[in-house]
Amino acid sequence: MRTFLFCLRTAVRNLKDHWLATWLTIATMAFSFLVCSFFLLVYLNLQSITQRLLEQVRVIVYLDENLSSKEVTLLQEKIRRENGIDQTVYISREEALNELKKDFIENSNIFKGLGEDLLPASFELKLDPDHQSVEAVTQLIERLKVIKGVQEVQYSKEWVADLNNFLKFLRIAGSGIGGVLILAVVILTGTTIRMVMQLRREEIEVMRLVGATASFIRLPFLLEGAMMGICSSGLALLLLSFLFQLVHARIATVGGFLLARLHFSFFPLAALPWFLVIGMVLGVVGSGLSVVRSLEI
Amino acid sequence: MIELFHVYKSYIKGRPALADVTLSVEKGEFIFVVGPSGAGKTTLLKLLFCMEQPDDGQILIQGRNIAKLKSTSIPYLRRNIGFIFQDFKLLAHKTVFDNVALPLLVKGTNTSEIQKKVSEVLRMVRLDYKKEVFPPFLSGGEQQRVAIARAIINDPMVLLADEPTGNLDSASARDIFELLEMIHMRGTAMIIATHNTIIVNQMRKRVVGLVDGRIVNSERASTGSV
Repeated sequence: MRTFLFCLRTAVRNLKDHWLATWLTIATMAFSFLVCSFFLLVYLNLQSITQRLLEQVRVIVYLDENLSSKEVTLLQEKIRRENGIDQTVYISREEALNELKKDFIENSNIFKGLGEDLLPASFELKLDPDHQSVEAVTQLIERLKVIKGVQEVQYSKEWVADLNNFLKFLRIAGSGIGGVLILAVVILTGTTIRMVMQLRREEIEVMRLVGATASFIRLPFLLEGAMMGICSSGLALLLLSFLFQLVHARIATVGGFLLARLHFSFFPLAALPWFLVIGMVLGVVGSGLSVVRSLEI
Repeated sequence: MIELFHVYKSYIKGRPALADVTLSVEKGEFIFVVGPSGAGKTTLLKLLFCMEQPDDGQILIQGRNIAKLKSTSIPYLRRNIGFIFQDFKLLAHKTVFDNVALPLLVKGTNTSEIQKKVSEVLRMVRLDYKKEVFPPFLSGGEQQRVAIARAIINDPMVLLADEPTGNLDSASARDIFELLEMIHMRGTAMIIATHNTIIVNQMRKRVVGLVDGRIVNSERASTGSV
């Protein structure tokens, strides 16, 4: 414990003695962490939004005109038995028109003079979460189309597929950029530590001569790397949080109806310490690689 | 206590720094290693301190062959051997106290023990009143005394010194050798490489002469002269 505290004090002293290099390194590392965390935040939010949208996606089965209520009931039973359907809700022509009127409440006069049978009756199908892939839904739609009594089947598969593809692209691009930035963090820490070791080579030599072990000499540098990693990831989190609050407030005021409903969220509180841990680990890895290569005991 | 058997070491092929060196050092013995520049004096001390490895031969310290010592064991050996350099090798940004305390810190000695031992050793070298001073503000002789204090803080079994008075004037050199003699009287063996023939002749200790890496004479005390 005594030895650890001595090494910790040495590490803090090293960071203070070379404060300019230290802060430049932390700032650069923080930028890398910021970009990585930003990508991650965007990806997680988009994934969450996509999931919520997918849950809300419905397949609308428009019915032929003039079906009797018995025919409607039989048709509903037949559709309900299809694979991949969680819920089937019948929407009559009147109900459909009332829903439409609600969406255009400020311009309700456009419906004056129009009949109550403007819109067809329909079944609104809620899909089983396990059958929400584009392929499964496409097959379902093909089966529904050929059922007698079904006029048309509507499902906006194109934008769901596009969104899924975009998420995949984001995941790959984010991983690639994140990987490069993490490598940059490791290299940057290593370079700074190597520079400090060069400046301290006389002290390192004397410590070897008086019987210091390799781990005793290395430990302060590893602790330096850890501290720089924690500071930079913490700083990145703070900046990201600030930017998020800023953007979130902006969306709320000028983002419009649609954006405001999308519910963007920051990382959960329980996940935040892990960012500091990752920063610390990357800092230790970076300095460790330098220390092992530079020190020959 | 220390034995060298047919030790060879060369840095340039065909020009051995040490050739077929066989030597024994008893416990508490005082030895001067003398010879012209390039004779192998520094190489001999470096081998004993594991700063170099011999090309051939054995070096036994308390029965242990250090020629084949693992790198992870070297620090523990060095805690039992003190080394004094011609250029002192003090840390300019640390006080006299902190320089002397360094060997105790690397061992994990507690603070009160460090305080006690460092104060005692600084009193011995007559620098207790300068413990908060930084080395650049000391004279050459004082810096070497600090280096000696650091070398003996762990009560080593042997003290190695490579030209300890090489950078000092004659008065300071005499002071240093008197201090080393005092330390020797407490039981520490000494192996000192030096050009200072005056001191060697005055102190009448065992003298080991090296020429071109070979021992040419190895005379015990009372007859030793250069």
